[in-house]
Amino acid sequence: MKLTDYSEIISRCSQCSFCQEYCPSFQAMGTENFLAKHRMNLIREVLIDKTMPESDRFREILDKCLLCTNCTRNCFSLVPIDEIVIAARSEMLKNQKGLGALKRGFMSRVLSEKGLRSIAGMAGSLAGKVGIGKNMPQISSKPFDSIYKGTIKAEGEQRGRVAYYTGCGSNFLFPDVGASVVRVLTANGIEVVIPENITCCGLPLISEGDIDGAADMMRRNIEALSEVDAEAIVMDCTSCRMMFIKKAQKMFGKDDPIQEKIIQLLLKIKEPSAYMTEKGCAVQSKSATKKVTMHIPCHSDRSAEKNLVAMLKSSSAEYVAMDNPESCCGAGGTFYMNNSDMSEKLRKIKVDDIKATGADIIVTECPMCRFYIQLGLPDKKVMHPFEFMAGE
Amino acid sequence: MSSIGKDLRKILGDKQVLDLPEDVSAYANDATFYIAKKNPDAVAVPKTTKDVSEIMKYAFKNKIPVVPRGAGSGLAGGCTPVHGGIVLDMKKKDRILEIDHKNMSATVECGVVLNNFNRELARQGLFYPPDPQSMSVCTLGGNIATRAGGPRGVKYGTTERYVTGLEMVMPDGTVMTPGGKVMKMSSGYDITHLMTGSEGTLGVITSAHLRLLPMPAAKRTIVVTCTTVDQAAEIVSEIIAAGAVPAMLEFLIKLAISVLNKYISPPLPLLGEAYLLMELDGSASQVEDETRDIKRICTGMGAVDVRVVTDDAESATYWWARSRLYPGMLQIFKRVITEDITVPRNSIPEFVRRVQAIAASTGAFIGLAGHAGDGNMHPTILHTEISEEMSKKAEKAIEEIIRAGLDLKGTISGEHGIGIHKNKFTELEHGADQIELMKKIKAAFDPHNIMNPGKIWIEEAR
Ligand SMILES: Cc1cc2nc3c(=O)[nH]c(=O)nc-3n(C[C@H](O)[C@H](O)[C@H](O)COP(=O)(O)OP(=O)(O)OC[C@H]3O[C@@H](n4cnc5c(N)ncnc54)[C@H](O)[C@@H]3O)c2cc1C
Repeated sequence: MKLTDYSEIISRCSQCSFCQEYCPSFQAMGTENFLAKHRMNLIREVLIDKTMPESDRFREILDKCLLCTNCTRNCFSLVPIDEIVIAARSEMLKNQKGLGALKRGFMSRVLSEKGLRSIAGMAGSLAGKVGIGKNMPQISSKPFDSIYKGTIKAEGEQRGRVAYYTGCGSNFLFPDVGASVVRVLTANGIEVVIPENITCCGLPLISEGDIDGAADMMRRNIEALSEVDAEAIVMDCTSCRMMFIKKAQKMFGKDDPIQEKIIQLLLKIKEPSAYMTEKGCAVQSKSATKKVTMHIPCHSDRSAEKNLVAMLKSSSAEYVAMDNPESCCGAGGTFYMNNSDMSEKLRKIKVDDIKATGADIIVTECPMCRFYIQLGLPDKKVMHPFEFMAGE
Repeated sequence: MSSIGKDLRKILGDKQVLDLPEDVSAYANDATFYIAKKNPDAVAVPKTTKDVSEIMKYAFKNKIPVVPRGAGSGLAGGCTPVHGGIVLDMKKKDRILEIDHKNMSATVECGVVLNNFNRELARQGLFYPPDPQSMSVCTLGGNIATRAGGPRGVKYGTTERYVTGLEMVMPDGTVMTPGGKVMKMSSGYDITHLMTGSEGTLGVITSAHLRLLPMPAAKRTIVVTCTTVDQAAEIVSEIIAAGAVPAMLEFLIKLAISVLNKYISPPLPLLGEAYLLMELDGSASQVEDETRDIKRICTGMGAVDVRVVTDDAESATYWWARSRLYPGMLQIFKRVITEDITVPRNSIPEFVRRVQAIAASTGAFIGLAGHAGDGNMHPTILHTEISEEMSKKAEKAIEEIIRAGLDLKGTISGEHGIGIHKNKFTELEHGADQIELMKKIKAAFDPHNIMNPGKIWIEEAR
């Protein structure tokens, strides 16, 4: 994931401008200087060809990318745009000094090995100084992993056994999501094991360009998950899945022995409802009679969401699709904390779309989308699809 | 901060002006970045016709070049500044002002994205045929300014057929409204259609009245697999000669299908060297009859396979993939230069043969695709590397292709426009007298030559 790895591929951009359809940064700001394509051109000029200086404006333009990956997923020239932005931010992290650098490397400084746990005690201090921490979701005083440990037995006849990789969202921010996933799985005859020694997937770190820090976390996760005896590893967060499925291999050298372990794990990583469908579990929502709609997080590979929608539809709830379920809600992980102007514009579009459906409940897999949409929609309920299925 | 930027801020306010180098470089090129790349001094983002008019008054007074720009998806270097100056980013003028069922007419601002317009029309059972393959991003203003077309050209013609009136801003800031919603007009010179296709060189189009059609009741996609490129060209000719009028009739070589197959579901077996992708539309019975006729013609001429796609989701994958052919080719090649020569339709087989001969003699790798049904071919120069040698070969091949097209009584551009991509060939096509007349027309609109200077023909030294 070093910028030099991309110096050729970046020129594959045909400049067709089709990313205008997908780039939320362009859509919110409205001008082409904030378009994915232009970021590629600037990165080439500033950091590869070095024909332009690494100015504040350059940094601002790169920082206004949400890393939603929508451009990359839809780029017919197959330019890995989000990874090139990450690689460029990594250069910027090395080059920048002072408060700017502190702010840039904030997440990688505080998250370290323990994931979000390390933030819990320090709200205010450092966070306040760099303007992060406003509108942050509360970190639960009873994280999921302080309640659920070891193996949780299936109810009735056992159909399978999975390891549940609990992302920071389901562990620290919304432990009820973790509890719901366990409840729905075990109720359907699936034994659940909570792996030890796992940590954050590393996405907040690579978003800041701290590729090495993210790789350390990923290595620890891969080692830990490789030890677990389970037929599948379920992950309930779109971004964690993206990190494992799309990024993990790229974070290490080709000859690194970890690659073999990653390949083995990739066969096992699943979204929980997909695993349940494979096992023939018929999920019944307990939240009957409610009208529900789904927001599809940008990092979703879409297959999981298709499956979840099918499940919601087969339940007794009334499912209504919004016009643009895939449009970015503006959260972008922690992006909204520093870019409220842009994020609020995107959220407004999302919220209007949701309101038009008349739904009472909005389900979405991503904890940050959930938190951010809820802030903009205080009188509706936003939750994880598994909380909905478990009965609110 | 440039002085132009400073002045524009006074007119428009801070939020609608960009002039930092990191910002304006986003407006240096369109999809033909390998030909033209030059920063404007400033970018102005007008939201109203009045904004445009004020900017033009300022530019006129100070003789500053102005380049209108839509999505910047052009394939001719049309919206790129040659002499710096001001780029007008028109994308924020993006309201659909009216959809008038009684007159089957829509009034739109120039920055409306074609697909957004299409979505709104579809909701109301209406249809606007022009379909440049960049429709997911290109603007109606850009379409009008280039007379854009697309696969539907064969049955429905291109953009100019649908423009009935405009609101426009002259280089000195005067606002005019030529044409209107009427379906015909024999009154005076047709300024509306002079502006249509003017590539931003005469004035700024701010809104337009567009003719609409009812949405056809039925549609069907047909894919024909042909043994050779020649055979595919002959079949196109035969279909046209037989009086069949498909809504779209696209020509693709095997290489193109091999790239697009990743997105076509289920993928097409690669059993031939060339493929024809068609859509038929009309009433259900019309579509049935045409399907039968076309099947008969294709099989009779020895096509390997004629596949009638009955599943809507499956046909959609063909057309979606087709629209992304150009960026898709970059998966394999380092550079792709797309031409849009258009020949009388009976000359397609001959044109295809000549292009193949040019590929052989110049050593350039030339792909063939095109909206063949209306005679519009896209010979595409595919670069396996970026080198001076490759560029020379490409240049030679392009020139020979253009000459071949003209020799067959064709035109050098069927839909992309000239911009600076082909401005050295317009005189070859039209002759010195016509170019002289065009220059006089431009001078009548734009006495200071500030509107998108340097385009369409080779400029005399400034
Ligand atoms: C992948 C791909 C596929 C394409 N397929 C097709 C196709 O099938 N058919 C086709 O015709 N084209 C095609 N194009 C080319 C291009 O998309 C069209 O020419 C389109 O009409 C340009 O619209 P735009 O908004 O991007 O205009 P721009 O590229 O921004 O501008 C094009 C020209 O119009 C002028 N202009 C723009 N707005 C105004 C205005 N408001 N007033 C006055 N002048 C203005 C500009 O100065 C410039 O000369 C394709 C391009 C790509 C990248």
